[in-house]
Order: sequence, then C-alpha cells, then structure tokens
Amino acid sequence: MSNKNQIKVSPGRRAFNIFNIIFLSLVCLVFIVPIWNVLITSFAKDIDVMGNDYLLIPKSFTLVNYDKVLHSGYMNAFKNSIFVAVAGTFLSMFITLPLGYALSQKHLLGRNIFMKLIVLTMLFDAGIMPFYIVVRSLGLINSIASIILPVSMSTFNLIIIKNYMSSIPETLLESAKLDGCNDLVILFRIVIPLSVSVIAAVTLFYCVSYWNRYFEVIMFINDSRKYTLQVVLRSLMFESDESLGGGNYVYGNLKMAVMVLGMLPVLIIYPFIQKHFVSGLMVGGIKG
Amino acid sequence: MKKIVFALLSSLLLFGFGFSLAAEGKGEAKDSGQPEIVLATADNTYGLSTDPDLQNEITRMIEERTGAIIKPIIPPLASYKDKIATLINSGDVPDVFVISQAMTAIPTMVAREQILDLTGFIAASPALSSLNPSLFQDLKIDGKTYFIPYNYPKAKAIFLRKDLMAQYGVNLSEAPTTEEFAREMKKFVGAGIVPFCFPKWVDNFQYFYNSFGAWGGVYKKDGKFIDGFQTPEMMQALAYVRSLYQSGVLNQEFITTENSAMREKTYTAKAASDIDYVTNYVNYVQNTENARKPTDMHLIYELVGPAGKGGALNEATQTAWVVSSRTKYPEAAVKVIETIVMDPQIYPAFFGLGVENAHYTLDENRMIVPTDRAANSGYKYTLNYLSDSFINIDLKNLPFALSEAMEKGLPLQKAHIDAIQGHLGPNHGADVPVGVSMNYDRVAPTIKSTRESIATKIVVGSVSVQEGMDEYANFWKSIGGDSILQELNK
Repeated sequence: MSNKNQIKVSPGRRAFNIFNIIFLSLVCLVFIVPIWNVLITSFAKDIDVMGNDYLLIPKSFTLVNYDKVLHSGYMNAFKNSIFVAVAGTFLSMFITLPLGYALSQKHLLGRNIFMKLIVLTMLFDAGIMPFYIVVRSLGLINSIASIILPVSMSTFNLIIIKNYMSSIPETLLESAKLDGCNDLVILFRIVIPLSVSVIAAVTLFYCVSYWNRYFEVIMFINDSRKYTLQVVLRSLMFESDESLGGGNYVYGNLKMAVMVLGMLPVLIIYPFIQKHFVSGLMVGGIKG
Repeated sequence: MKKIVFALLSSLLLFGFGFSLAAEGKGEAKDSGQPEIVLATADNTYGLSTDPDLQNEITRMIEERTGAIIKPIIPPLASYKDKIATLINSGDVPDVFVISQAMTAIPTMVAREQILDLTGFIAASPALSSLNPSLFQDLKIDGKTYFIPYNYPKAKAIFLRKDLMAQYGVNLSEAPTTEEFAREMKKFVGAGIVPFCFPKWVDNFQYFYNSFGAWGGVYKKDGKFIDGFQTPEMMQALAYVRSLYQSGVLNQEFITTENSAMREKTYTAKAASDIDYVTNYVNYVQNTENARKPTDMHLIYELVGPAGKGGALNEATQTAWVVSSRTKYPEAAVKVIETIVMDPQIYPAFFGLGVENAHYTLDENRMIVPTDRAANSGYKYTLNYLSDSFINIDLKNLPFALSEAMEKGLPLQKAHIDAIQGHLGPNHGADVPVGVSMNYDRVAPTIKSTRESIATKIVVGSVSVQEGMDEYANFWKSIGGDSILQELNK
C-alpha cells in the first residue's frame, strides 16, 4: 500500500542522488579531515608526530599537550581575552545599533554624507604608524582600552545593521511615534526586538573579531600581564626550537592543542546563535 | 525604560573601567636622579618567563648592578620584529634594544641615524674591549661599531646520522670534497630515506656556493662591487647543487620543507642528513633519543670545491644589542648592555635560567626544577649560554647538575663550535653601504627574491643553468643593474 503512494524514482534520478551523496560526502570530508587531524594530533604523544606525519588514525592518547598549554600563562590571557571580547562586543553593539538605526531613517539630515564618510574608512587604511601615533596621543598605550576603543565600530557590521533596520516598515515606526514614543524608545522597544537575528549575527562577528585580536595587542600593549590569549598561543606556536636542555622542542601535537584551545570558545558560542546567523545576514545583506 | 537606563549605566561603567585601565598604563617616572633606560628584548630572553613578577626579578638584578632604572618592553619573540619596527618608526625608540637580522638591519639603521656609534664606548669598557675584535669585523660601517653582540656568530654545517653512515658504508670527513660528498651520499639513494634534507630557505645554498668561491648577491671583490650571481663560479655552484637534486641526494620537496620538518625527519631517521646550526648539536643528540632512534651526528663543516675553496655557512652576527641615537643616557645604556652581555651572573639569568628560587629551584640531585609560578608562565630554561656566550664558564663546576645527554653532548658541542671557527665561509652581507645608491636600496629586496627564485628553478630543473642565467641577466638589465654597480663603485 505504502509503496503505491511513493513517487517513482527514475533510474537517472537515483543515479543523480547517489552521485550527490558521494560528492557531498567528499566535500564534507575535505572540511572534516583537517579538523579530525588537528584533534587527534593534539592528543598524540611526541613520538607519534615526529617526522611530520599526517595522522588520520589515533596512535596514542595523552593530555600532556593540553597541560603544557594550560600552564603557559593561558588562564590569565584567557581572562583578558574574555574581558576584551565581552566589553568590546558590548561597546561595539552600543555604538553600532543606534548609529545603524539613525542612518536607516530616511528623514535624517545629511544621511548620505554621513554614510559616505563612514564607508570611506572601509576603502582607505592609513596604516600602522598613524594608527599607533593616534593611540599614543590618546594616552592609550599599554592599556586594554587600546585594543577596544580604536576598533569599536566596524563599518561592515554597521552596513548590515543599517540595511536590516531599513527593511522595518516605516508605518510601524510612525504609529509608535503617534503613540508618543521618542526615537530611543522606538529603538529599544520596537526596532531591537525586531532585529534579533541580525543583532545575533553581528554580535558574533564582533565577538570573534575581538577574540582574535592580535596585532593591536602586540603594538599597543607592553605589559605581558595584559596579553590576550591569541598572543600567548601564537607565541607558543612559534617558540624557538634552538634552545637546549629544557626539552623545549615544539612538535605538531602541542601546536594542535594550541589551535583547539584557541578556537574552543568560539566553537562553543556558535551553535547557540547559529539559527539566527544565516537569516540575519541574508536579510541585512539584500536591502540596499 | 528600565532596560534603557540599565543599558546606559552599564555602558558608562564600561567606559569608566576602560579608561581606568588606560590610566593604569601610563605610570609615572621616578624622580630619583637615576638614569631611566627603556630596554626592549623578546620573551625568549629576560628569564624566559612571561610572568611580570618573574621578569621584575631580572629587572631588579640589572638595576642593582647598573644603578639605572630599567623599563622593560618584552613582546613575544614571534612579534618582536614588528613591535620594534613600530616603536622605532613612531619615535618611541627604546634606549637599548635587541635587533635581529643585524647584518641587514644595522646598515639601514645607521643610514637613518637611528642608532648610536658605540666605538668609543666599547673602547672605554674593559669588559667589552676584551672581546675578540673579529666579532665586530663583519659589521663595521666606515670603521665604526654600532652594535654589541651577545653570543658567538652562528654557523651552519651538514649534520649526518652516524648510524646510517655505518649502515650504508658512507665515509666522509669533516671537510670532504664536493665530488666525495656527491658520490658517498648517493649510497643513500633508493634506500627509502631522504639522503640530504634541505629546508625551503634557499639562502642556505650559500653553503655550496662557498665551495666554488661564489657569493649570492652584490658584494665587494678586490675592492670593487660586483654582482656575485653573474659569475662563472656561480654557474659551477648551481650546476653542482642541481646535480645533487637530480641524482636524488637533495630532497625533492625542499621548496616546501620547513626547518622543523627537516629536523624531525633527521631525528626520526627518515632523513640521513640535513643542514643546521652547530649550536643545535645537543638537540640532535637529545631528540634522536626521544624519537627512539638514538645516534651521534657527524658534522661536515665545509665541502671543498675543485679549486680548493669552501666554508661553513657563516651567518656572522644575527642578533645584537644596539643603543638608540636619541637616548639621553648613552653611558648608562652601554653599561646596561655590558652588564647583560658580560656579567657572569646576569647573563645566565637573562638568557638561560632566570633567577634561582624565583624561576627555578634545585632538587636533591641538583637538577633544575622550575617553580610552580615559572612553570605556569611558559618558562622553559635553556643551557645554550654554556656553549655560545662570551662569559667564562667552567663546565665541570656548574652550580647545577646536567642530564646524562647534556653531560655527554655539551663538551662535544663546544668542541664543534670551536672546530667550525677554522672553517667559516665568507660573509659579505654588510658589504654594500646603505644610502650610497638609492636605486640599489630600492631594488635590493627584488634582486634577492629574483636571485633565489631563479636559483631554485635551476636546481629543480625547470630551466637549464644557462637559461636561468639568461633570465637573470634580463632582469638585471631591466633594473639598470650595471648603472647601480657604477653608482656603488663611484
């Protein structure tokens, strides 16, 4: 009975489906194999990774590499990174949301000029020296604020937010105004609740961007107590192997443990906002 | 409305916290009349720990010895070069700092008047003037010295596994001829191991160029600047390296081989030999044991070419201390460097071990044991200073015990370092003065990359030696190479 109700699949269609499954499985493998290699190498003993072998089947299991990384000033740097990521994301959203809302309002005087000035910063980069001199002039050298304040607004993220907010029906905002709401109330009571998906996506963008900050930390921070995780981890990855006596040689397994611990926080956050991620980006991206 | 107020207050708090952190960074200078010296070095020195309190122990020691107030900047080694370049170019030049790739960096910094002439200061210091004058020779500019080295120049030799030599009946001296080397190394070909693992750093070909009296680059020969790449000697040298590649002696994937991969292949006996710093000898002893393929290494200091020429790859001074030309306290700055480089207690603490009871303690067998604090800050001591520093160390009376491998390997490493001094090849890296020919200064990096790219093409057989040389000659013409040489020879 049930067989009768099924749509008959032609041999060509079946062959196409099989081809699809094989092809997509291979594509999946291309992404999965390196991650699998990173994972099992990070748990491997030195002897199994010497000679630069590419592991696909685990040969041994040890937590020594993770122990080494966690005992390399990891926790202090981790706290710094968390602070920079949380405070930075919060500040960035605090600036980007109202700015995006304001720029999405067609009646804003000089809207196009503001927008062009902001977009200009995407096209021209003055380079590290002027950047350094500005940060120094602001008295921010060697302060955590130097990693956050100069990069607290991303034009790319602003455009996504602004475009999304432009798609909210004007009539909705007008009726709120008729009910006596001012712009701030409209933003917080109407626009933000309607923009959760794009806010989630942009929050993740900011968070990952702050989490991965490296160059600014190196340039503006002199006190190693304030180094973030990426600096400490990169330093471990590129540690000199010419020293002797302390068993200092850095093999691939330690480097892979560094990678796993470096990307772990972002991997943990991602699934929670994944559902908002694609929809938020799509809606923000299509409206001009 | 509550949410809005909450958001605004939170933001204010955040700003407040941010700016309090900003203010924390400024600090105030002490007004004690003592000279204040800003010192920059990478975190593979300064006690080898990233813990600021442990770093302060080193600062305290230097301050006690020199009477200066030290303000250290200690970025990670991987980013040190970028950091120091930014500091220098922004005008925040540290009073004293370490520079890497001194052979190319010092002439440039001298031309830009960024570093101080130290000739007089070195002559006035009994400790520094006692250093072997040859240490300064390769990098003197117009007869003046602008740097202070802190260890013996590094040299590279070929490291050959003795177990595989015995197994395959390979017989080579410490200075065989190029012909002997090619013949004997062929015995490894087809045995399932890489006969000679070479890294992707093509400038290491200079080891072979030395055997033919060739130099890869513009240099001074008989008082006149020439382009060393366009010489018959270079053609001979490239033909030789090409023959090693074609016969399977040189690893076929060298253009993608990292130093670490090269070493690991030799440790694990997947390669019979490689090229490395002599100061890494003990690493080979230790790591071949770790790989459960223990063996001693045979070192080939030089390959003697058909005309009797040859020499180890001489990197001369790679890292050195320099003093900013803007420092307010030049005497104090030099005193700080002198203390770090020559003081028998500061040197090991700064470059090797850190401070006893802060970075490490000694166990009942007098073995070094990192303290918990040090161990949690990435501290890893090194004993390199025992073989490559200028301070006199009695290896038989060290304040700590050595592991068995170190006990055995260290005297051998020292012997190899001494032995290679007599085999050092030339180093013309600082021959060309900066600022004499603006055209040369502009195109020098392109000349280097083109030269190395064409040398690689010749070696792997993409082009014949003659075709490669013709391609280089065309490039040379396109940049006006001959007129550049004329400018340099004026």
